[in-house]
Amino acid sequence: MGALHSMAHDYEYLRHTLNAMAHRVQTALHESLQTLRRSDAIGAGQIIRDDPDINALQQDIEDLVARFITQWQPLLRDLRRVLAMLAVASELERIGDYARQVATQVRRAHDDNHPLLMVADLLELGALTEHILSSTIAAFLAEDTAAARAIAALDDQVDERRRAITAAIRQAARTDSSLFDAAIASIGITHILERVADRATNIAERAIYLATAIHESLNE
Amino acid sequence: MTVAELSAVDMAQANGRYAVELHNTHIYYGSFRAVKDVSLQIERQRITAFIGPSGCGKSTVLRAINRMNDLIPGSRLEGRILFHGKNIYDPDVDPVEVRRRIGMVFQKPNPFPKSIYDNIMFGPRINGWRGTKAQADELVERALRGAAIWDEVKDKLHQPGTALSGGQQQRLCIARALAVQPEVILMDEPCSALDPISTLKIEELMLELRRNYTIIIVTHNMQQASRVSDYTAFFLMDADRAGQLVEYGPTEQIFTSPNDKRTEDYISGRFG
Ligand SMILES: Nc1ncnc2c1ncn2[C@@H]1O[C@H](COP(=O)(O)OP(=O)(O)OP(=O)(O)O)[C@@H](O)[C@H]1O
Ligand SMILES: [Mg+2]
Repeated sequence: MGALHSMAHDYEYLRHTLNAMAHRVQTALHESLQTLRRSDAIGAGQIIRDDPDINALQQDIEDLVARFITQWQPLLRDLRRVLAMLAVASELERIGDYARQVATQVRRAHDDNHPLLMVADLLELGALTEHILSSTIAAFLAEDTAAARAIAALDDQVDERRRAITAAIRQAARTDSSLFDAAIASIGITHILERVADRATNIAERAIYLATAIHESLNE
Repeated sequence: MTVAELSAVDMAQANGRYAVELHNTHIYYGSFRAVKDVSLQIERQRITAFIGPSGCGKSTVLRAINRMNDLIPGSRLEGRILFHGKNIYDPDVDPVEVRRRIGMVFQKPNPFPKSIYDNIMFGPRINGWRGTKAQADELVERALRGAAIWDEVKDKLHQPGTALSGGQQQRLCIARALAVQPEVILMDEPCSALDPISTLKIEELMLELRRNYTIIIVTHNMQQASRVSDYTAFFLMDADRAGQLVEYGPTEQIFTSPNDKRTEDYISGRFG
């Protein structure tokens, strides 16, 4: 069988497209955190405008998976692999949405002139979620179940960090009611970042299912 | 004791779980061992699929189950194949009676060059049919209905069976197998010459027949095996080209998480 007509070849192309999408999403998340650091409304606007590109990549992956199934009728791991890719593409699309939501908060905070609170802590939380996202994508593409299982511990750290930051923000808002809007927006960002980590953990679960055919929950 | 006579004795076993049991079966063509040490218990009123690469002995095993291999000069079997607890290779067993109770449908539809009606009556007649014309009519209708082809042929029962489409011919052959009231139906790649619609019709029919019959089907179509069968047996050749049973279990398990790496590789199309 020629290299241009094999399941492996078509799978490589699919994997390449998923990787490209993952890269776009990681960049969007990273950039949204940069706009947070700089309180950059213009950069935030750019991220919001770029989000449809990520959605289009998800549709490309859906089309590729449908064609792959039609042409190769994959079974067992080959089937689980492309079904997992479909699911991962949808998780990534949501993570792209979250990056856009962070950018939206940054732009609104800038426009309404209520500077966000505890930005350094938010950035630290953001860095942790970025790390989870990149590890989980790497684990998925490498079909590395040990690495995928290790994500669960990181996800717990996110929940812990988030609780601490939220408590501090509430405390600040209680002592100074003029911080009310900023507090709401900042807590909103912790919530968004927590969702990013949850979605990333879902991707890790897909990696485990694809390798073992067993659904394992990492999000206890 | 013939197979026909042993029914009463073995009725308890007849109602047991297995329709057919192979115990340490080896099958030879002359000095060539085509099948090596297969042990397999076929569940009653279930569909069991035999899968595996070309030449691994699926048809050989299937034909052994109703002693069709007897018709091939030089073929020989070691081990035991039990039907109602009785070894069908015992010297006192009549192979014609075995073939009546364990029917067979082949890859290429092979109706006789006779009318549809006579195709159905062929089996009963060679088995000494003594009924009236009305009873024969009824038998023909029942068999054709059982094979889900009655409505398509009821107005042309006296036209040649060979004038039907491939898919209809295959259902006619199934009707012909049903006419002698078998318990087990063996099917060797029954859909490989059929289009997808006729294939689905045969599959639906198999699911229908499962209520009253035990079905064993050889298929190269993995999707078909996973769609219709309850159990799947995977065969493979060893270094001497002798076919062996690698893995046997519920189809759902074989098609989600097979135990043997070779099963996984075969089902995913890695070799074969
Ligand atoms: N009539 C025969 N005489 C001699 N050897 C035979 C005969 N029929 C089959 N064989 C040999 O027995 C082995 C098993 O053949 P069999 O037809 O059972 O395989 P199979 O699994 O049904 O293959 P396929 O998927 O191609 O139908 C093969 O090596 C084949 O060459
Ligand atoms: Mg065969």
